[in-house]
Parts: sequence; structure tokens; C-alpha cells
Amino acid sequence: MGIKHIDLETCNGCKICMGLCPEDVFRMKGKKAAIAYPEDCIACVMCEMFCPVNAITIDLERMQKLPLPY
Amino acid sequence: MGKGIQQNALSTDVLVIGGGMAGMIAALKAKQGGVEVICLDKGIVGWAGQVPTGGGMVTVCESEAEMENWAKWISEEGGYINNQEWSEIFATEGYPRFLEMDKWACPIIKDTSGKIILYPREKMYKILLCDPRKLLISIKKKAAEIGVKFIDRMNIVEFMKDENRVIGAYGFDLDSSEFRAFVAKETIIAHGSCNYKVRKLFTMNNGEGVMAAFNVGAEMLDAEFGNSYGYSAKYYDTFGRGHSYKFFINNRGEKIVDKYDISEAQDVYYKVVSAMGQETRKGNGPIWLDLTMATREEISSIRSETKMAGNMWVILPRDGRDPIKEKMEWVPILTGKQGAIRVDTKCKTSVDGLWAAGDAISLGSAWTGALAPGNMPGSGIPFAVVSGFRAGDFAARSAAEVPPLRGVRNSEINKMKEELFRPLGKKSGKDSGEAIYQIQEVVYPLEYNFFRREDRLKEGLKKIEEVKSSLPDLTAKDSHDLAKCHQARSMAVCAEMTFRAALLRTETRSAHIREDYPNTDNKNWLKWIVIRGNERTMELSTEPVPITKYRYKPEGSAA
Repeated sequence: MGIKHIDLETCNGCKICMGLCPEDVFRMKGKKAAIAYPEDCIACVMCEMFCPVNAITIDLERMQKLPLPY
Repeated sequence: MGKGIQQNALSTDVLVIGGGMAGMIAALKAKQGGVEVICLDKGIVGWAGQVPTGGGMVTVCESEAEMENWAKWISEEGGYINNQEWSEIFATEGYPRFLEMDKWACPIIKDTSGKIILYPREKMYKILLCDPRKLLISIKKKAAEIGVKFIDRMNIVEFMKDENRVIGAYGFDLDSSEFRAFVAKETIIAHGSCNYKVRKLFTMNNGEGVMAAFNVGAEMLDAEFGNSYGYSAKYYDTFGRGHSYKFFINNRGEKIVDKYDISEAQDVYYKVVSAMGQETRKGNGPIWLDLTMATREEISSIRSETKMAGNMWVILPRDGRDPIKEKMEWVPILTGKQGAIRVDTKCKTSVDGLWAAGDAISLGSAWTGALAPGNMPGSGIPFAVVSGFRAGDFAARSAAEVPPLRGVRNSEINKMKEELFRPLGKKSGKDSGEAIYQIQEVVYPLEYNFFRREDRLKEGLKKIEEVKSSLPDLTAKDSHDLAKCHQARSMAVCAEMTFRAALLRTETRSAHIREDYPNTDNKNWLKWIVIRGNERTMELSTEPVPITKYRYKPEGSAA
């Protein structure tokens, strides 16, 4: 399912997730990050890995369909 | 209002588009040249680009013998149509640049005595390691200290042109959705190549800069080699160590390394992809990574503890998968790397006022010629650095000589706004995601873009043209959607360039495999394919590689 959850208690609003998300999944809602476009998450886990307060949880399943190489 | 710098356009001396490694280095160098610099990114400057996704591996040549061996090797692997001037620049400037960056407190891995650790590799070059994330942060800090201005969340999709000179760029703010125009004496493209959103970790680069440069008349080169493939665990899209393919088996349990001449292919991915594809075609697929019989020493040689997003040893255990205990299916995966912008050795494009650095350059990663970029691990970061230094330095020198700009008419700016925002006004139409998938259906399958043949290339091209003709129907409900509409546009343009050039090159050369022309033709095809035009019409022509000027020549060539 890709991005699952942002813990709003923990999120410090640093915007790093917005800065490195390759698919522009996040927007700020007030001073916290919000999941705005979950259907575009490719589960690259960059946001989860670099979130300084571990507020983001990702499921590894990619949401976008992809053709096969052969 | 007549011509003049527009009040609603931000003005600077040097505008750098892209805040990854190449862009930030270019911005920093330009600022050191004493001019005003804005560096912007659609994400956040310093967090963007491909460097944070990598393992921080940097290829450098330390000795003169290594430089020579490397330039010779890359010329052989690149089918002798690499630009050997650039090969030499990459070989000689890489290490000194990292020594310079070391003085900026960049986090390069050192031994206890403070000396940079260089790992010898293949006699041709060495590897140094850095923490890629910290490296970007340290460069951003240095750039901020000297006064580079940063703008985040700015999506640039076209350039501003006055007669024959690029004088800035157009785009929109992803958060506020506002249209923005920038006026600049010199503009540096550093927004990467087109990777077609296939491989995780490479999906932010969709060729917008390549398309925008093409639309203002910049020449494109080597587009046929923008078909870089690697390999990864199916579904998980992970990286393994380069030589993990030595444990690939087919469905009959045969090691593919025993069946193909790929024992030394860890630095040239396409050879492994070719073996995987051939086995699958023979009905021996799928291909598995089988470590169940590997010795402890063998496993430790391919285990990597690097904290990087795609590391298989980090990702797979999260899903309860253990590659040591179970064999896992691996597949070829497209990284694309279609960056075809032609530059001279100063990083200037064929259009005045427009420069390029990093993966946007034809073809990033050390101008590897017929070796699709991205095929050589460890070349991405040093090429971003070497080209960033050059682009920033020469663009700043040029900006100092340019008289104040006249700008363009407000009516032209408004016309561009209307053009770029067109999908927002539509109530119904085609979804950009659908267009992107249709392009992926052509660029990803090996039968179209790896094992190439005239009939299949034509079929692929027809499908790309169909997608292109549907682009005016795209709709967007907000800035996020609008960005995707322009990504579909640039992906279609980049794919068309690749397929047209691949059709024209009627020979096989390194990673360009034409099944209907299986031999390398040094008599007729020691040539570059140049593309001119714009996204509506493309004109292809050829230009002889100046091989007589070059040091390394193919055996038996007329030169």
C-alpha cells in the first residue's frame, strides 16, 4: 500500500520528506507533513529512512502499476 | 508595457535548475566567480536528485597510469564514440575536485591518520567512499555561506528565449500553484536525465530539462544510448553489490556466468542484462539470485551494510525475506538515463545562455559513448562534480561579460503561462498517469528497447507517437497533477529521441544492440547522431566522431 502513516505527534514539520519524495506525495497541513497523494507512492522508503524523528511508516508494496521487462 | 525586466519575474546573473549534486556544485562555483546565483529545485535544494539514493561510491583515478588505463577502457567499452576529451577531463579532474571538497569539510571516508581511503579496483581506477547525504548537506551549507540563494518546490518546464539567447526559465510553484518566470544572464540545466519512472529511487528525473533545452533549439547527442538497464529483485526493486550476478541461476539451475562471457561484467551492467534476457527468451527463465549454496566468504563479499534506500540487505528483511535462505527472482530494470543535451568541454550547450551539468548532459556519467550511462557504478557522483565545477565556473565568467538583459514582453510571459497551465483548465480528458504507463510499456520491455530490431522499434515509435498525440487531452486538477502532465510530455519526447536514433543507427555498438545489424560497423558508423528541432518535429543527422584527433581508436578503423 505504499505510504501508510505519518505520526503527527512526532512530525516536527522539517519538510525533508517533501524535499526528497520523488513522486511529490506530501504537502504541509499547517505545520505538519500530510499524505496528499498516496496513490503515487512507489514505496522507495526514502522519506521513512531520512525522517529525523521516525514519524513515517511505509509498506513496501508499490501502488503504481508497472509493465514487465519481458 | 514594452520590453524590460518584468516586475513579476525574479532576476539573477546565473540561474541553476536542480538542487542535487551537479546543481549545487555549479551554483557554488558560479557564486565563487563573483556573480548572483539562484539555485532552485522541485523538491528541496540539497535533498533532491539521485545522490541521496546511492551508496556514495566515487570512481577516481589517482595516478597518471590509472588515468590512461581508464580513458582507454572507457573508449573500448563505449565503442569509441565517447568524447575522448571528456573522458580525459573526467579522469584527470575527478580526484582533485574531491580533494578540494575535502577542504569544505565534506564527509569523505578516511583512515585513522586522516588520509582519504582509496580502494583499488580493476587497475583502471580507485573508489573512494562518502556519505552521500552528508556530502550534499555540507555542500549546501558551504553554498549558503557564500550567498547562493535557494528556491524550493519550483518546477521548471520551459526556458525563456530572446532571439537566439536563453535568458531564463518558466515554471510553477508546486505548493502555491503560482506561475513563475525567472530572468537570468546564464541558465544552467542540472535537473538530470529521463528515467521514465520505472526504477524506484530514480523516478524524480523525468527529462523536463532535456525537453526544455530541446524546445529552445539545443542539440541532442547520443540519444540512442539512453536505454540504461540494471537488475534488481523482482517487486522489491533493490540494489545488490555489482558482482551479485555471479550467483544468478536460470530455472534449470545453471549459473548464467558459466554460459556467457560475463565473468568481468560487474562494471558493465548491460552485459548481464543481455544474458538474463537471452536465457528468458530460450525458455530458461526466470532468473534467480541463489545464495543458498554460497559459502560464508562468498556471502560476505556481496553483503553491504550501507544505509541506502535500495540496499537489498536492508529492504528484504523488512518483508521477512532472507536472500541467504531462499532463492529470489531478479529481473532487468530500466534506469533510462536519457540525458542527451550536447555540451562542449565548458559545459555550454549549442544555445547561448544555456549550460548543463550532471546527468542531463549527453550522456552523463563521464560521457560514456555507446555504453549507456549508469552502466558504470561509481561514475555518477564524480561526473556531477566535475561537470558542475565546469558549468558553474564558465557560466559565471560568461555572465560577467553579458550586458543587462532586455527581458521579454509580458504578453509572451502570459502566453507561456496559458500554455503550461492548459491541462488545469480542462474539465475532462486523459489522466497523466495513463500516458506515463503507456510510455513505460514501450521503453521498459527488452524486446523494444534493449534487443532492438527495425520492426519492433517502428512499432514502439508508433506507440510513442500515439501517446504524444494524446498529450493535448491531459487534464490536471492541481499543481501535483500539472507536474505529472509535463512529465508525461518530457518522457514522450525523450523516448521518441531514443527510438528515432536507435532506428537510424543500423549497427550494434556496446549497449545499442540491433538484432538485424549484429556487427559493429566502424566503416560507416563511427558517427554521432545529432537531433535538432523541438518536441513537435525532430531532425536527425550524423556527424563523424573526430577519431583521428583521438588517442584511442578501434582496431581496423580507417582512421
